[in-house]
Amino acid sequence: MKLKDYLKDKGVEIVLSLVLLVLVTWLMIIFRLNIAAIIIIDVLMVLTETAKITIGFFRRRKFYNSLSNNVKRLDKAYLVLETLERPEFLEGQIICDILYEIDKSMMENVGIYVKNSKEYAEYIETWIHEIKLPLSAISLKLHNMLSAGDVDPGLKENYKKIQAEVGRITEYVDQALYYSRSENAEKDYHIQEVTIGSIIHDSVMDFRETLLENRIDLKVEADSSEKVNTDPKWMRFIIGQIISNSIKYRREDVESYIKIGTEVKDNSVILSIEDNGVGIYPEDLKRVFEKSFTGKNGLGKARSTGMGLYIVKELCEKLGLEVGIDSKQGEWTRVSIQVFKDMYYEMNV
Amino acid sequence: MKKIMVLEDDEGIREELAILLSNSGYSVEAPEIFESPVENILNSAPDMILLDINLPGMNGKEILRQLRKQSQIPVIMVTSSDAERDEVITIGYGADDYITKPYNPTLLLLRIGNIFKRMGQTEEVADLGGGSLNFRKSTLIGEGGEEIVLSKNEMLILSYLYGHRGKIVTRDELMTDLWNNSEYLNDNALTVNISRLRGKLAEAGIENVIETRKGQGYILET
Repeated sequence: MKLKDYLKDKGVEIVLSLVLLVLVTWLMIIFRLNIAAIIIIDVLMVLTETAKITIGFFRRRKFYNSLSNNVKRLDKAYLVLETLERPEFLEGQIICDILYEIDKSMMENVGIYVKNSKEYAEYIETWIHEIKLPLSAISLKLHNMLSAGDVDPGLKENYKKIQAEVGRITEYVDQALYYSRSENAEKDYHIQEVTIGSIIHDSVMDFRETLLENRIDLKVEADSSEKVNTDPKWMRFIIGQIISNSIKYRREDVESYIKIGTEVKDNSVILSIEDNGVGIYPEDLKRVFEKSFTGKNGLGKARSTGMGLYIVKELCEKLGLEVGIDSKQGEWTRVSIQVFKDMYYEMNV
Repeated sequence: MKKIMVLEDDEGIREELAILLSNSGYSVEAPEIFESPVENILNSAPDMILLDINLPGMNGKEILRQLRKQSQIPVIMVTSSDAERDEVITIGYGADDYITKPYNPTLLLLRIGNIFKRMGQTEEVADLGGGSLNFRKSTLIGEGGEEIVLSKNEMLILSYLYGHRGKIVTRDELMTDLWNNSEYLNDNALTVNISRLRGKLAEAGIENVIETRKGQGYILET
């Protein structure tokens, strides 16, 4: 709060006081008062008015300055009330009381949404648990039908196609589960010590059939015995999404491969997943981790939801992992994830 | 014949699991009622239990905990909730393995087979007719006593075939076993490994034990 602005705001009052001063002086002259008395009264009137304005200014300046500065400084502006001293003047007290009421009603309102979103996330978890039962039954049924001795080759083809579709459903179901987990503020990961080998193993086992069917070579050249601290289930999903992209965006005119490697650093292991697929256009590269971004490749034959890499990025951030992507359009794509060895790195919950 | 007891409350899964297991040469008991499960298990004395975590009445973890007080029957926990905590607790209670739904049926059979193998395998040398296989040293021994070293892949393939000798083993099964042992082979590599293995078997004087059944797989005849 600046003095100039304050004076401007008090302009009408000041003008009225001056009018009053002139009027009073004029009256005193008419009543033929002693000239010295007139001067003394005028000076007193001016002094009183000045004192009133000055005191008012300093009282308000302290309160409003800390109010506006703290609002700017805080990343959660609604917490400003907690940082203020209760002012001595009435207007300030009224503002504080109103702020308190506003905060309370906002908290109650936000509380409803927090509760709703928590309940929704719980429902999603339960629903996914339930949907996996019929999916399991279907995939078992298909397996049993396929391994029955005398299956017609045409029928066998069809069973295999259904099996592949069930695989896709399962993948999308898991994506929904991890999307819900990545959006939810609740901490539901479980950090433990695991070897790089077991992380890679769990992820690639899910894709064995798809990789073999599409004749994609899997080359694992990793320091498998290296130990890291992370959530193995989240890692399995994260790497799974990346492998799934590599399969989706392979090139038909080359012998496709996916290469999984590691680079061991002092306190971390960089896990890289590289393919020789269609690659990513340079202008799309920066944006692939954005929510719902599909880019030029996403418009092609493999339809994309634009969610996979976004969820990967979100989960990595929650786990405190660095994830990066590099690519040459038409040649290769490489995703690298830095996983830490010790438990005490920063996690963003 | 080994008997496997399936404790699963989802009817669809239970029926298909029973078919899967009996197709693979196990006898199956799959109760539809889950009253006093621990007594039922002890009474029917199976060789292994597939135990769902979410059961009506007593849940799988509790069943496992009570069962372990009286019996060391191998147990594979099966569940669709992938909460990490469940896993830690059940392994702590003494489950032998843990699989989440929807599981790969070939992999499930492989895990079952592995547990039985771990329990039963005391033999160090297998007779292959004309020569033998040393599991520990992973070598073939010819009639004249000459030793031929097998690669890890060749050893995995031959042990799997030996474990299922007299039965047709599909390429998918061999692949599952190899991948399960972190050998991520492709189709060509499997063919190459099998022909190399045949070469080494012939070198040791063991001729034509691995037969190809067209469109089905391989069979080891001893």
